[in-house]
Amino acid sequence: MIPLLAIFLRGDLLAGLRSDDTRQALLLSLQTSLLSLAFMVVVGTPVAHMLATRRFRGRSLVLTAFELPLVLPPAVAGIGLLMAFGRRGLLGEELSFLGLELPFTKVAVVMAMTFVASPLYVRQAVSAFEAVDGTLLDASRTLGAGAGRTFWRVALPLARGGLGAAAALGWARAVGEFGATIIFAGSLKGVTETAPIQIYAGLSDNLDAGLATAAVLILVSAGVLLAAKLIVSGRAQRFTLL
Amino acid sequence: MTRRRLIAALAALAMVATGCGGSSSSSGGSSGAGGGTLTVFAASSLTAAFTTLQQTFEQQHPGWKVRFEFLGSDQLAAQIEQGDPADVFAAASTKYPEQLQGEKLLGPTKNFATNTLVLAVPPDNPAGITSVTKLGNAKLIVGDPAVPIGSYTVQVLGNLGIDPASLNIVSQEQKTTDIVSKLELGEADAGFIYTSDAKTAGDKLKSIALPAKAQATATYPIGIVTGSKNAEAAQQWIDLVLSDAGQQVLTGDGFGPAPSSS
Repeated sequence: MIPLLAIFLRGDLLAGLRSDDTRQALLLSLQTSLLSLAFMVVVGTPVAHMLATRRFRGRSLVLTAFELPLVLPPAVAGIGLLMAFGRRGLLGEELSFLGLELPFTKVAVVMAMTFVASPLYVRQAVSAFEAVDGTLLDASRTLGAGAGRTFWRVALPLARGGLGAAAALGWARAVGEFGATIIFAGSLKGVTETAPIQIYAGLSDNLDAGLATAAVLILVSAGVLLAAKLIVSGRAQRFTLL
Repeated sequence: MTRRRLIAALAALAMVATGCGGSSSSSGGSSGAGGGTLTVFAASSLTAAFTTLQQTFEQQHPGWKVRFEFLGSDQLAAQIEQGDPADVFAAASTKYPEQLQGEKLLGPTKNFATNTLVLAVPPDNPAGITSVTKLGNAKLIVGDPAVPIGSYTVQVLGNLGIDPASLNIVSQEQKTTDIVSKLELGEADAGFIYTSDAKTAGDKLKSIALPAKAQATATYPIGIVTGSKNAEAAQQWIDLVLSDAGQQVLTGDGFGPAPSSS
């Protein structure tokens, strides 16, 4: 706890909060992380549902592959993204043929965030779907609802709490992304300098601004963790009421 | 009771965590014949030259190991200010050593090298750049203006009458080695780096000389950090850097001679 407290006790937080660097970086982090979250939820939720409900050969292999970015150093993610999507990357030629150059853009920031954070979302979402009582799904199907209707009307509402907690954790991880971003997206104020990168850059010229950003991130993360806990315990209570 | 014990344990853990960076440099005990670990904080543009000199030093002083921290000079200065136990500080600008001396954190310094800037492009020069005055819309990587390479770049552009805002700068990096590696990967079209960086990069980068009148000169000072437990070895390292052998390595890596007034 001491390092976290120290951030609030050293430097001039108010001056830091007024700095343009801080405002720009926080705004950029909010924007890119929400885009990343949207992508995670839209693509990750059906994938998680499939992984939770289907049993197929190689399922644990697929699950492991999904979990890999969770334990890898973000620098590995960064260099991998660069090797795949950089100008000279595996897909670089195809991308530049389409007029796309991804490194050093906001898209690169979102990609780095999504690569690192989506496994966390998918993993939690799989658990959320697995916790849904299978007999309810069977009942829905025997009563004539199709697979799609059962997903939308039964599985999704029942897993809502767990999915909310998954989204909160995934979003928080996306906001915290640093290593992959600085390698793949570089650092430019207002374009790719997200909050964690601004903290790093602030070490050289604007410590107060870096500290202020750090303080905001601590408060936001605490809020997200608390919200995730409340959502989960709220869901638990509803279950006991049943 | 258990709660108090927990807090004490956490506090101890925090102290261990914050102190671990420097434990090795004090493990050497008294400096001199006994040996130990010398911690040298150096600007990242010195990476190649100092790594070469490390072998010489360790051969000349058996029992001594040299440990480096290569970062932007400003970050190294900030670390020294926060109490990181360094023995020697070698910076790519006189600004930060002077700042540390003002805070009584660094002893007297000697200038040991100079450096100039070049415009570097990937070997195949994807944007077809021929001159610093014709950058057009090429994707540029520069140093953050808060670090020496970035501030020298601002100076050079100013000398040329180029407004940085008119350029297509895609990233501002915190240390020169990050500019070099991204250029070597071909992710940008050009970048401003030190002449020495271009020299060490060899044929992985092509450099375009800057007009002499636009050139900025970086001066590299070196000194002993106040309170160093290895002051004698630190002085020996500085002597090696200033010696003919040391200067030869530096010139070989593209550095210029130290200004005579040092």
